[in-house]
Amino acid sequence: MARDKDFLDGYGEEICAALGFNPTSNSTKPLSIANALFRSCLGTVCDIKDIHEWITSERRSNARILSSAEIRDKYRDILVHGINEPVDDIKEARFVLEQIFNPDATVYPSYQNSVLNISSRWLVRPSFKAEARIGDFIYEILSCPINGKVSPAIELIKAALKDDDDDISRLIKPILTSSYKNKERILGVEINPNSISLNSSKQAIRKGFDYLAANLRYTGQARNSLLVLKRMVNFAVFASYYYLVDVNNAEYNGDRIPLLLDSFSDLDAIERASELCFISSKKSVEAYIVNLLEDIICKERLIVDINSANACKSFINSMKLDEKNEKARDAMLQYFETFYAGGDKPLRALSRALQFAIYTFIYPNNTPSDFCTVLGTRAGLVGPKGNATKFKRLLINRFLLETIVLSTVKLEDMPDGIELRELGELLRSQYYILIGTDTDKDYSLLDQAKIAQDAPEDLRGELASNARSIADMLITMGLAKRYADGVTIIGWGL
Amino acid sequence: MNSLQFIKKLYNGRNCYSDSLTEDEIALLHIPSGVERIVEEMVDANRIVFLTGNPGDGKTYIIRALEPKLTRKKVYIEKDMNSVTDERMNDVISKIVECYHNNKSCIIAANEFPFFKLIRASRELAPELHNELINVKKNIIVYGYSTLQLRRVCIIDLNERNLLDKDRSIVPPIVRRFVELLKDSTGVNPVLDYNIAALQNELVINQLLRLFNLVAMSGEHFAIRDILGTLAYAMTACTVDDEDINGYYYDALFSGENELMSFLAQFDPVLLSKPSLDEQLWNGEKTDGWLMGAPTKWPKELTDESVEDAAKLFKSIKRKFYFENIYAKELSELQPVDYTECERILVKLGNSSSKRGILSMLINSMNRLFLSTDDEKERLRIWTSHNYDLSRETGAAVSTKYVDASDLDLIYPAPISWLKDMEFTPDRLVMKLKKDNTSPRLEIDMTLLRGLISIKNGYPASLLSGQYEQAITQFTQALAATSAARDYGDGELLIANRRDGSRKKIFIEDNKYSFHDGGEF
Repeated sequence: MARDKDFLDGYGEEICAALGFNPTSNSTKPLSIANALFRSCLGTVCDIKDIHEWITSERRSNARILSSAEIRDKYRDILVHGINEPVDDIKEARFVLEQIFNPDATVYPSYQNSVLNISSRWLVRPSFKAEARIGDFIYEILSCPINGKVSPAIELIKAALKDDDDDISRLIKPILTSSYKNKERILGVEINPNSISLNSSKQAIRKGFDYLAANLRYTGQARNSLLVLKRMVNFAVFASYYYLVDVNNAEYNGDRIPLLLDSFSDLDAIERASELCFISSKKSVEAYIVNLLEDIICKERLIVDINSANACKSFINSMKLDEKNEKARDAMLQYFETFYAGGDKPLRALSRALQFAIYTFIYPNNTPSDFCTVLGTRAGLVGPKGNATKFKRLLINRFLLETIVLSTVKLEDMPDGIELRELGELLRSQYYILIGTDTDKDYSLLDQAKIAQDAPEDLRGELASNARSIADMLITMGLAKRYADGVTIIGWGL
Repeated sequence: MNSLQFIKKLYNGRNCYSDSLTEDEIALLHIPSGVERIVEEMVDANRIVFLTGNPGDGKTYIIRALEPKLTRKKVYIEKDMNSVTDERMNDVISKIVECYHNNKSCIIAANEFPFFKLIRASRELAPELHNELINVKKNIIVYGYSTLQLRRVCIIDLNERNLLDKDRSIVPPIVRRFVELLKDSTGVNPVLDYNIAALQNELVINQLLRLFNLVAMSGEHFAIRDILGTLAYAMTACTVDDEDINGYYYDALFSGENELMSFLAQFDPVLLSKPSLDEQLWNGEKTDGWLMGAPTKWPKELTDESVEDAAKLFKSIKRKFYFENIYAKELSELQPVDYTECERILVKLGNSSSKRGILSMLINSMNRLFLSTDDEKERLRIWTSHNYDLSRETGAAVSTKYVDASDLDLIYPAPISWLKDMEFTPDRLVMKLKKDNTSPRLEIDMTLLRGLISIKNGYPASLLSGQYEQAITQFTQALAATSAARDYGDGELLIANRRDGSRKKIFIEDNKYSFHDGGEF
């Protein structure tokens, strides 16, 4: 128990445990989430050290990387010309293989931290640190029985992983047969998902996966196993972001944060409002952590009187801290004084001080709100990408928009379609996503969230233009049709 | 109202709406259309006729033109579903169902969205009608043969009617009708007289037709209201009291404000440039070949007074040249190649040897989408790329299979047999496997077709919208699962570096690698 050594560490762990995953590392990438989710769906993993050896090319100079001459000698049984295969050709081939299997920069010289581009079950590896439990968290939601059934997404993912006839998987077939590996490649893993209750945010995610699975089958996308995997992981990454933002509402009845999607149409007021939504979403994560810490402190009853400032200070003073974190104590006392003097009740001031301390001393480079930015960008929700951009916003990527719509529209509505206005209502109720379909409603929600006031110019007017641009994107994907009357219908094969 | 006033109001005025026209006015405007004959036949066969389309497509006009017959037959008519409230929807559906079961005809005119609402409402109220509606709706346009048997329901979707169809264009008859009607206004305005005279000239009509053909090739739909409005404005703008309007038909055609004219503007002859011709037209050296008389004033003469006026005159003369000079071809052949090639492709597709050439061109452009240096024309490569992080572009793709051009077919859509008299221009092609109607299909709409033509002409593939790359990938991936997908042979696999256009061959045979590819190709 981390608390035995260091209270701040302990609180950090409890936050992650309550949340269900660890939003603490920027090295968590979609492939890290994919690996854990796929492992849980399959119940097996593979030893992929040999594939890793092959595709970690000599473009980097690192002692751990095998030279192409070493590769030739070690794997001569899978080379047509054996040890006569020219080393330069092997070198060049490894370079292009790396481009295929490391498109997301998730492969390092160290095998322990690497995950390869997953195209089939042969590339799903044992758990590693950067997974941050997100894939497991998603799997717990998927495997939670609803009306006695797990999510159909699990079966769809499993089937897609078992299909290894795609072009990417074909590239590694010789390595899979190499006699170098004398032990079993496939290893069974025990999957015991925590039995969880689904709060409203998790219910929205589960519903999203269920609808997405059904719609992938209906639209024929399910026939393309690589597309299924990409779509599911894309939704999993989005779902993790959404959960971080929405959990404060689900667990503590905090304000729901409207997520105004910017259609990239050069609409100034939309851009600003979307930036503010993104900022609010990050604040919501912080609010959740403060609420959670309040909860933990109350439950553990270590403070004599949570309404007494002195008792709270004395708790900070007596808190067990690791030597390396000792300097956090003074900082916490200062934070506490500031918040208390600012009008917070003692318990709230203490929780906020703890939150500040945890993210200053325990996770200095990876606060949950930073994590939101990184996760959102990788999901295709947050942009523009690049560190040079000062203000980021919810700049929706086409692929993610399609994923979200497929996770929102009921299968039965796909053949005849629903109106864009109805899609707007569904997005609002399921994810609190706004696209501008109902100007009055969307504006009033932005107003309630104190966002409309800070957006310049004609936000109300631009909301309608934004909805039209979102509809244009859906039309080009074949997911919508606009009639000359101006009405847009969302569906498939309209 | 005299004819001039009547025609003037066809442009963005009261006469755009057939509701407001008298029977005599309807008769004045009456240009026979294939759709009228179809509606008549369907009514005679006691069918349930749904006449749908965009506002201004002529639904009400068609019903009004057939009204005497419909009244005699006591056909139940719903002229405008827009005016049917949600509360009345059930009532309308009940009446349709009554006709459906009692072998009576009815005509329901509905814009697309009210039609969508009607179909949706019928799902609960009249499942049998709903199923037939859905079935017919999906088969209005077919590729090859359709097995659909026409039963009680017939849908005529005017959105699919292209009145600018090359062979059945409505433009010449409308111009002829307007010229006839305007003859009683001669002497009122010299420019109007000029327009009337010019628009009886065969070359002028042909050039006008060519221009509208380019519009027809765009894949955009324009309602009859827009076409009538455009031609009415072109002929009568000279009678509008506005000094900014130069009323010659060739100028007016590009200065009005409806959707069709906005679209036409991209084919405005002033955008076409041939320096030697421009110089002649500016200096007044092009004095021969003018069918309606050479210009009396040339831009060069105005240069000293006002460059702006000179430029304005130059534009006008260039348009006049385009329509009225026997050497106009040297200008009209400069119209955007991607549009003119689209037209040629659709015309040539019926010829099997030409079809193969078109297919090769499309295959090459599709291959170049993934590998800019690829010259392959006879094999459609199946490229696969895969990644999960949407903040990154995939730089590499793999291809292990291809589909041979001889296994692929290009077809274009046509209306189902009972709609064959409807004016129609294909607005897309379909690429599919030969002799396999269940095979994956790639719909190549006019924008994609123009994009692929541009790639063939050397434009970078990255200019093509991402949606098309996605569509082509989905199509080729679906082809990969068919028996037509062939391995390259000798275990060959290609890996493309899309960033620099290079590629590498890897060979896998009997689960063994060989990396020697004999150099770049």
